[in-house]
Amino acid sequence: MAKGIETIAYLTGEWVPLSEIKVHVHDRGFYIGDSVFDLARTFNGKSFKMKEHVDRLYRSLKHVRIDPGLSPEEMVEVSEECVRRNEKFRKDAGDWHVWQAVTRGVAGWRELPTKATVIVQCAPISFKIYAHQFKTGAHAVIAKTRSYSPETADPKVKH
Amino acid sequence: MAAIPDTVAYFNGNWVPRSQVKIDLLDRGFYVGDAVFDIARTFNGKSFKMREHVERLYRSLKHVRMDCGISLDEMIDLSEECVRKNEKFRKEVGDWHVWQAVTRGIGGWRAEPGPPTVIIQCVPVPFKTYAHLYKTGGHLVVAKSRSYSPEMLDPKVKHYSRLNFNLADLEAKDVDPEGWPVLLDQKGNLTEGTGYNVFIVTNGVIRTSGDSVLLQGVSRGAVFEVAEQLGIPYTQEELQPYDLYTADEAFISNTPTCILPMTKADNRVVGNGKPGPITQQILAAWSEKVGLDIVDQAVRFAPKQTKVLS
Repeated sequence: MAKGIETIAYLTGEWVPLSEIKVHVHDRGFYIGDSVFDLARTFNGKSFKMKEHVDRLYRSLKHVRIDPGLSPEEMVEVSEECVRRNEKFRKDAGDWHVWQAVTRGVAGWRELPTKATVIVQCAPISFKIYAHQFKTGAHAVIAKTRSYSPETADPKVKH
Repeated sequence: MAAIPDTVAYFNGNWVPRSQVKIDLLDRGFYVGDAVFDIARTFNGKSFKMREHVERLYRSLKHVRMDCGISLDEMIDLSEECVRKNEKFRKEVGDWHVWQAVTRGIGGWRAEPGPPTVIIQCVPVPFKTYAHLYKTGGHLVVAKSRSYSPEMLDPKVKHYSRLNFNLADLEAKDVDPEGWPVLLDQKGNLTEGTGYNVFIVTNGVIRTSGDSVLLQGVSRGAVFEVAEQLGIPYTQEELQPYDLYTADEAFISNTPTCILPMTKADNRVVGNGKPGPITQQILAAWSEKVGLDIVDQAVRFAPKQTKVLS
């Protein structure tokens, strides 16, 4: 995607240029990984299985007990609005990831935040990372590091 | 306390007001937990065991293969400089946490990240979170969520990716509104809390879980030092909830509190339900060591704190 294109993103109730969204250094989503997310994508600017992604996001939220302050239907609507608002930039990007992230919010150790941080953004699909591999195939490696056991952090949660 | 002062922080090579330290959405430290950190504290504005904290930070960095671009000695100097630059704000807050954080930097999925993000900041020691508990003791709760096994993520690494700790905090409060969680390992042994190590006292012996299942707390090391000075025996061993329930005393150790008595475990009374004599002895010796009455300071500053972070 050409540089200098500034998509519009949703930050806890407001639409702002993406570059204006920064995470507070004391947001629990940053300093203690207290956040969940999901990613849908578009094909020719049309979202694909958005409801399934948002439903999974809300299962993650339920498991970790964060209330985003929006219903799943509202989250779908905000996500679709994000796609609509950025349609004018799409010819440079091809298609979008539609990325919802929810953190528990800004608070200190053993404090609970009063309000979740909610971010919905369109990010260009990173075609260059993998496009050439449709032809050649990519190389899988069995990692040394093991996955979480469900007793530690259920892998069904996207966090 | 009035508004939290806008302290001076180190952010990627510059000294800036802390309010200007902002994390990019595509920082791997934010969106995929690719970050390590450490926190030291000051006593009367003088840092305590800074070298030990920074050495642990560099072990974390080594394990996760990040190069923060700063030598260990420079990291100590920058941390001490951060303390000096904020000394003028200290009378309002009492003392500081000196918090170093390093992320792998800004970069998308499978993309090469940019230079690491490096943050050093002074934030007030969160006295209000625990000051009242020196007298009554806090309450431990064995959390449902288990700790990491070393095969998943070695608990010796001090990192930002802690969904299980966040859940454990909530689970502890389900059982006891004042609950402080302690997590079990995959075998059912006690490991650590969410930001503290756990100790019990049985028949005059201080007992704590072994090195392999927890973050090797700098304050945990200081407990051993103080115990040696006082001639109190201590052991590291595999402990189960049984040992906690049947102990004579329990306490936690971490950087802000030093140690904090714990008088209940899963709603059962530990010992006689009061902070125990060995706990008190260690706390007194620690105050002596740092030249400040740890409890008195916490109790004095706690009421001034409405929030501890901004």
